[in-house]
Amino acid sequence: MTDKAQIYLVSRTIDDPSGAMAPLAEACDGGGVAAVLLSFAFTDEREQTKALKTIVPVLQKAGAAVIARTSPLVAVRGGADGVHIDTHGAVQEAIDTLKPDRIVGVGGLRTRHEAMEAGERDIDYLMFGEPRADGSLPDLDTTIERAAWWAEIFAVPCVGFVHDLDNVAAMAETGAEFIGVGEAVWSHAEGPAAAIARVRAIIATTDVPGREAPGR
Amino acid sequence: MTRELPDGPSSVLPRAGVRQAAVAVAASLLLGLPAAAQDGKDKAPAIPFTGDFGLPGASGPRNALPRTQPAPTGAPPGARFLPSPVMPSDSGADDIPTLPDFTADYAFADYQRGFYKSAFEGASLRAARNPRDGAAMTLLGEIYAQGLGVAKDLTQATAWYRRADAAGDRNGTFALAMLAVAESADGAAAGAEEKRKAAVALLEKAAAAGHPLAAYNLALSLLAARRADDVSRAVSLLEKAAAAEVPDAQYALAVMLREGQGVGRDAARAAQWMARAAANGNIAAQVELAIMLFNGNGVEVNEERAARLFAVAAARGNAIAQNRLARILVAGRGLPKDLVQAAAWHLMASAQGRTDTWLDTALKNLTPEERKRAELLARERTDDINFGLAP
Repeated sequence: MTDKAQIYLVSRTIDDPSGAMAPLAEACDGGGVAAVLLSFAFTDEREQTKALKTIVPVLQKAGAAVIARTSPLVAVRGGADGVHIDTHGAVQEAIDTLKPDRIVGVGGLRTRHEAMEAGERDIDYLMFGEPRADGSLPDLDTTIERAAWWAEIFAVPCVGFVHDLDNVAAMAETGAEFIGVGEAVWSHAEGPAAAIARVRAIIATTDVPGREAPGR
Repeated sequence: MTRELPDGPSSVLPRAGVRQAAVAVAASLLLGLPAAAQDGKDKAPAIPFTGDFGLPGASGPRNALPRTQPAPTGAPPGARFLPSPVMPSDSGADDIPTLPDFTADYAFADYQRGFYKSAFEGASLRAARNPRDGAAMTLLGEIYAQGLGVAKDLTQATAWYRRADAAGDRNGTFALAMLAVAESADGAAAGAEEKRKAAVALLEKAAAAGHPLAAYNLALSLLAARRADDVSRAVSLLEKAAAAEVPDAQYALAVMLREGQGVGRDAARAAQWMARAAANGNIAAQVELAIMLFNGNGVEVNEERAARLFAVAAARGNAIAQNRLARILVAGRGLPKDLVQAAAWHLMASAQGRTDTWLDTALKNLTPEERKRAELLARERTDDINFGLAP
C-alpha cells in the first residue's frame, strides 16, 4: 500500500462504446488512474463483452485496472480485471468465480452494518459515496465520516467517492486508499486529462492526519 | 464536566450514552462476573492482557485507579433500554428518505427528540386505545423508570413493562429483565436469588424473541454460571447479538474465538469480530485489535495500522493504549520515533496509574525543555479527553 491515495475513475454509463473510448483514454493517458469502473447502458452480454474487448486493452496499457459493472462471466470474456457489484447483488457468486485472479469490489453500502458484513468477505475493496441507482448523491459529510471510520479500523481498502473536485482533499485526509471520481472529471471545463491531473496534485499535497505522528 | 465513577454497586446506575455498557455492568455484577466486555474506556481488557510485542517488560500490573470520564455526548438521557428503530451503529443518515408514514411512531419520535411530555401523552393515548400496543407501554415504562417529565416511579415503570411484556413486546420483556437484574444486584438482599432467576427467565424470553441485548446478557449469565455445557450456548447467543452489532457481544465473541472457549479456536474470525467491535467504538476492542495487528495474531502484521489504532484509543483516554503508543514512539515502530510525544503519552498513562519503568529509562535523557513540551501536550490532551473533545 502506498502512502497516498490513488484515483478510481468511474465512467459515465456507456451506450456507445466507440464514442466512450476517447474521453476514457484521455483521462487515463497520463498514467495517473489506478482503476476505471465501466458501466453499460445495454444489458446484452455479448454486446458488453464486445465493448470490453475494445476498451479494456487501451486502459490497461495506460496502467489502469479495468473493472466493470457486469456479470463475472462477461468480465472474464471481455478481459476485464474484475467486477463491481452492489452489496445486495450476487457478491458470493462473483467471489467464487473470480477470486483470486480478479478483483471483486462492492458498492451500494447504505449502513455501517452492510459495510462490515461486506468487508468480511473475500473482496478487494468497498466503495462509499457513489451516486445511488436513482442518480441521487449521498451526503458528502456522511461519506467522509464513513471512509475515515473504515480506513481507521479495517484492512480492506475503500474507495471514497466525491462528486466535486473541491472535496478531493477532504476525502484524501480520511486515509481512504482510493479517491473515487466520476462526473466531476467528465464535465470538467478543461477536459478529463486536466481534471485527473488536478486530482493527482491535490492528493500529492494532502497529508493523512495521524499517519505521520499521533495527535497534534 | 468531569466526574469520578465510584466503585461498587452504585456504578450499576445507567449512564447516558453507554446503555450497553451499563447493561453489561449490571448483568455482570448480578452474576458475579468480572465486568467483562463493558465499555473499555477505563478498564483493561477482561481477558488476561497479552500485550507483549517484543519490547522488554511489556506486561505489567493492570491498573484500577479512579479515572475521569468524558462528558456524555449525543444520546438523550433516556436512551437506556429502548433500541432505536435502527441499529445503534446505523445512523441511517445516508438512507434514501421515505415519505411520511401515517402509522409512524410519533410518540417514540417525540421521546427521541426529548419531548417527553408529548411522548408521554402520545403513548398514554395509544396504550389506552389499543391494549395490544406493547411498544407504547414499553415507552411509558421507560418514561417512568427514568423520570422523564414525570416523577420517577419504578412501580409504575414495572407495571407498564409487565403489560408490554404481556402484549408481546420484546423490549418490554427486556426492560423488565434488566429491572430485575438491578434489583438483585445486591446479592445479600432478601429474595435476590429469586430475582436473579426471574431476570434470567425474562432474558431467555426476550432473547428468544430476537432481542440482541437480551441475548448478550443471557450469554453473560450462562458464562457466569461456569457450567461447561453452557459455554457453547453462550457463544451462539453472543453470535446472535454480535450479528446485530452489539459491540460488547462482538468483543466477547472475539475473545471466545481467540481463546477457543465454547467454540473452536479461530484467530482469523476472532480478529474480524474484534475489528467490528472496534469499529463500533468499543475501546477495549480497539486496544486488543491493535495488539493483534502488532503481533500478527489472526491478521497480517501491520505495525502502522496498529500504531494508528493505539493512537485512537489513547486519544480516547485508554491508559494501556497510551502506554503502548509511548513505547511505539520510543521504538519507532509503526510511527516515526518521537521522544517528546512518547513522553507526553507516558505521562498520561502514568497519571492513570499505568507506570512503566522501561519508558522511564528510555525517556530519562530528555532535556528540561523537551520535558516541558511533553507536559504541556499531556495536559492539553487530558483536558480534551475530560471535556469530551477527543475523537
